[in-house]
Order: sequence, then structure tokens, then C-alpha cells
Amino acid sequence: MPSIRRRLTVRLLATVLVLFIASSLLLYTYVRARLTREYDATLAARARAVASLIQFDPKDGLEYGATDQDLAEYRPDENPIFFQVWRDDGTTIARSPSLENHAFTFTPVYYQTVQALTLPNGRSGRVLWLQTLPRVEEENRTAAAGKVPPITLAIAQEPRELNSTLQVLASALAIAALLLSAGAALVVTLTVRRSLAPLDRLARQADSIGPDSLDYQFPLSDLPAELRPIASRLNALLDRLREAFTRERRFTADVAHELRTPVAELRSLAEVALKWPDDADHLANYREILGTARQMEALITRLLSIARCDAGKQSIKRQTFDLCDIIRESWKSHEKIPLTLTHTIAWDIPSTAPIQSDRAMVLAMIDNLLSNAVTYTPPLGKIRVSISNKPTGVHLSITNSCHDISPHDLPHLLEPFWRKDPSRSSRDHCGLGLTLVAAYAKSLDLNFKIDLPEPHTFLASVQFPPTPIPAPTDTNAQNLPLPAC
Amino acid sequence: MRVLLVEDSPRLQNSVGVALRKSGYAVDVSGDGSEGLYLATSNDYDVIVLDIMLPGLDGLSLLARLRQKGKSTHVLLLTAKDTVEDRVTGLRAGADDYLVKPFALDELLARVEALARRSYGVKDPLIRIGDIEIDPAQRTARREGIAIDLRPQEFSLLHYLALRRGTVVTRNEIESHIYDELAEPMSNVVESAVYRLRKKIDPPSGPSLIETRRGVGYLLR
Repeated sequence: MPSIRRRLTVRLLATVLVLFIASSLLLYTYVRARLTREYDATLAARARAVASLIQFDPKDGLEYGATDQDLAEYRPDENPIFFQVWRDDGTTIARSPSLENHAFTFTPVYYQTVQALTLPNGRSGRVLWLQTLPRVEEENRTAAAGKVPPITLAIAQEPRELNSTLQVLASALAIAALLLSAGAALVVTLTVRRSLAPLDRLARQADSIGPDSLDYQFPLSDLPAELRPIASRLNALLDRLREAFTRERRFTADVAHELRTPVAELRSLAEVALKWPDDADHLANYREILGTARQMEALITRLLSIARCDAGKQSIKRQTFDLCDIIRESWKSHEKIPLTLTHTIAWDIPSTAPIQSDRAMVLAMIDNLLSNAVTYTPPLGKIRVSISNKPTGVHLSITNSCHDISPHDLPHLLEPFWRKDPSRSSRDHCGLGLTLVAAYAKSLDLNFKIDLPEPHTFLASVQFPPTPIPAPTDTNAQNLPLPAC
Repeated sequence: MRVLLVEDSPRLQNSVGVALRKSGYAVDVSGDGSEGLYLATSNDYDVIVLDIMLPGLDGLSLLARLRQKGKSTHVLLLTAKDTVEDRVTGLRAGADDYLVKPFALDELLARVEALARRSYGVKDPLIRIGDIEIDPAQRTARREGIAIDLRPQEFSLLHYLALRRGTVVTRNEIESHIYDELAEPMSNVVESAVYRLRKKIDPPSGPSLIETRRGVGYLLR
């Protein structure tokens, strides 16, 4: 696509020129019509003057009585005037001396008409045809009443002055067009350049922005009103881009750390074993290597699951099952954690809570939520798991005490690899649990939320849509102590 | 040579610690930045191998505080942070070297060895004492091309005395550079080690290479 400046310049120039040419043509046409009309009026006046030389006498008929003075201007000269007068039957009554051996062809006309024609001297001219009555003397008018025959008269001349005037006008308009074109080109180019300067400046500023200068902000005060919304949008876009870059860099750095450290462990364990084979505790080494491999496997499996969900390629097998069973099944793996003994755990779950979803994915979500609750609840803290059956569906909420999560941290909790502890020391969690839960919830069309409903209390909730199977209402809910589950 | 390893990964603590000890270093290990700072300021280490992302106190803050306290111990940053900015930040914070995880164990040992050499202003990887040639990388000592049979502690003592050649080295200095915090050297362990070393390196005739300065320490001629 051509540049805006070029398009504006070309279009403005073309518009100015077209308008000028059109107005020039209009002016020229108007002037020519006006001058031609005046010229024709002059011809008509001459024709009437010639017609007045023809007299009708009831006794003698039509008589032509022109003196030398009358014919002075009809003699052959540089720009002669020609005329010829006919009776109604086409016989010539009179003709100008300028016609010499030539003659006009008789053409009957009704009243008056003007034509262009080639004059007897070979020049282009205009001829006025006029049908009129001859002059009748006052004393003969009564006798001639009803007997006066019409005469036809042709008078012609080359409109030399008219043509000359029109030629001067056309030349003046053409020269004006040329001057206007040059002037318009200069003015339009300068005006367009000056008008588009803010746009050029904006483009240069945008061009200078790279991945390392995303903190740049377009200055709004220097811009015209039309560009301010664009610059504002660009600033907002840069903000989002900067956040995305920061997230991406953090993600890359976190992935690097999460993978580099276990790879370094594997490599150094293997190198020590190879370098000092006699001293190595092979069994312990194998255990350490297996532990690192499992840690990496869990990390990669979670990353792949999140990537599949993000790409919409996570396979989902929907079936109807009991959410309470899932809670019980998941808790079996967490209740063995010694840390759990320092927590108070409250269960508020009904006898059954049927949902329709992917069982394995929901189990993984519950595993992660319970694992987080158990891991991050401080000693003597509280965990509460509750399920409620409502007409809108099954609502699961897991709350736990927490000391170190602030409202400012909430938006980051779902980011991959985000950890409150910048040292990322814990090997049990890598910061993907909540990200995976959110990704699974999105794939399963579940409403997953995290919140801090009150200070030092973290809430994770999942809303499951209603199932076709009727579910018991909350009034049937009962507190189930864990051993009874 | 005594090295402090501050690393929060227990597996790396184990493997790197073993590799350093096998290479003749006395090694103290810490998995926490605050404890690492305490150890680094309380003891005289030849080299500190320091992770950056640490619980308690991060490696760069540890390094800054160490330098503020006037400690010029050579520090090797061993970290997963691999960008140029990370390296520049680490080196400008006062580190002497930077190694990115995962790393080759031999490279780590070579860098630690080079930093340890620098602590004593030595550039030649081989140290020559008369007709004795000491190779710290191979942990061997030869006299006229023939290997001298030295136990690891004896080699460490010879190496340390060779690096401090010409200056009197106190018993405490020998203990702090040859034995780590886990070792509990007996009161006469240095004297015994010096006695055994003299028997192995002294020429058949003439004065001993290691001179005893009563009440002060030892001097390698």
C-alpha cells in the first residue's frame, strides 16, 4: 500500500487540478457562449439592417434598394461580411459584393437560426439565417396587407475577434493551470509533510522500540488530537507487552532454574561416581538420581499438561462420578504426610456430590489443591474442605491458614513457576500446581477461583455445573470425620 | 585448602562436597544463606563456592555483606542463572568467578583450584621446592621424577606450606586450612603430620625442608 503522504499529496494535487480544470472549462464555455451570443446578436442586427433594404411595393413587388454607403461594409476585404437575400421561392433578391462569384445555398428556415459553416473565402465562420418580411412604406401598408411575401436572408462572417478573445482566454487558463499545478504541488507537499510530521515522529518512535525498550511511553502532549487515542492505545499495548515479556522472561528463567539444578545434580552425581568409582556409595547415588529423575518427570509432565490445555489438545473423558469419592481418594495420599499432624482439618461434605467431568483431571486438581493446603498451612493452622450441592451445581472450597500470601500475590499465584520464596529452595513444589489446576478448570469449563476472604486465610474454590442426576440438597449435608470417609 | 560450599540442593551439596574432599580440600557445607554468611565470616576459607538463590539470604546479598565486612575470600558463584546480566551482576557484586549449572565437575574443580592458587599469588600450576615438584591438580609430589608416597592430609599440608613458602605458618592456620569443621583434629595432629611429611620429603642428608619455629609455627625453606 502506498504511503499516506504520497496518497494524500497525489489526491490533493489531483483534486486541485481537476477542480481548476473543471472550473476553467466551465468559465471558458460560459465566456464563449456569452461572446457567441453577443456575436450572433450583432449578426442578427446586421441581418435586420440588410432586410430593411428590401422593400415591398404592392405594384412592383420586392425591390432592393441599397446605396454604396449601405454596402460599404459588405465589400471584399480582410474579414468580409457576406449576405444573400432570397424570395420565398428561392430566387435571389440581393447579395453582398463580398460574395463575388460565390453564393449560399438557399435553405428555408423558420424565423432565425445560426450555423457554423465554411465561408466562401474558405474560412470558418458563422451564418445567421433569418426569415422576415420586407419593409413596406407607410402609405402602402393598407394595400399590401396580406400580400407581403416573406424573404429569407443569410448573413455570415468569420468571428475573428471572438476566436481571438477565446484563444487568449484559453491560453491564460492553460498558463494559470501550469502555474497552479506547480504552486499546488509545492503547497500541498509542504502542507502534507508538515501535517503528517507528528505521524512520522510517532512512526520513528515506534520503530525505535525493541525488546529492551518496552518501558518506553509515547508522549501524548506533543501529539495532535487525532493521534492521541492511537498513542494511548500503543502505550497500553506496550504495558501489556512489557508485562508479557516480563512474564516470559521470568518463565524462562524459572524453567531454566527448575531444570538446570536437577540436571546439575544428575551430572555431578554421575561424574563423582565415575571419577571415584571405588569410593562411591552406588546405592545412595542411584536413590539420589532416581529422586532427581522423578522430580524432573513430575515437572515435565505438568508442563506438558499445561501446554496441552493451553493448545486445547487435552483429551477429556466426561463421566458422572462422586466428587466426595475423589476427595477421599486424594486425601489418602496426603494424610500420610507427617506435617499433617500439626494441622486441624475440618470436613464439611455431603454423603454424595455427583458431578459430570473428567475424573482423572478432577483428581489431579484436588490432589494439587490439597497438597498446597497441606504444604503451605503453617503449624497449628487450619484446613477446611467443604462441598455444597446447589441448584447451580456442586461447589467445592478448600480454605487453609497462610501467613505469607498477600492480596498483591494473588494475581501471580496462577502464573507458572511463581513462588513466594525467591530462592525456590523447595524441591517438593515447583510452582506449577495452581497453574495446572487453572488450566484443567479452563479445559473442563469449570469456574476456578482463588481468594483471600479474610486475613491469613487462603481460599481455592471450584464450581462444577449441575449434573442430570438429582443431587441431595445442603440440608442433607453432614460432617464426615476423615476416618469415616 | 579449605572451601566453603553454600548450596541449597542437598544432592549438589553431597556430590560437590564429595568431589572437593576427594580433591584434597577441607569442605564446610551450608544450605542456607544466613548460615553461609556466618561460616564465611567466622572462618578463613581459601575459596567459597556460592549459589545465588538461597533460602535465608540470597547469594549476592551474602557476597555483598562479606565484602562489607572486609573479607576478600575468593568466591565462585555456582548458579542456574545464566544470562549475561546475571554474570555481570554477580561479578560486579564481588565474585571472582562464575559457573552456570549444569557444570562439568572437572571444570568446577579446576576453577576452585585456580582461585585457591590466586589466594597465594601463585600462577604456575606446578610448585617446585628444590628438587621436589608438586602437582596440585594430580595431587602428586615427585622428587627427580619419582613419585613421593603421600597420604591426602600429608599432601594437603605440603601443598599449603609450599603456597606459604618463606613465611612462618602457625599451627592454627594449618588446622583451619587443612581440616574442615567436621574434623576434630587431635592436639598433636599437626605435629604428627609434619613429622611424617619430613620423613618423606627431607633429603637423606642436610637440614630438614620444614623448619620448626618454637612457639610460632613452621617454615618451608
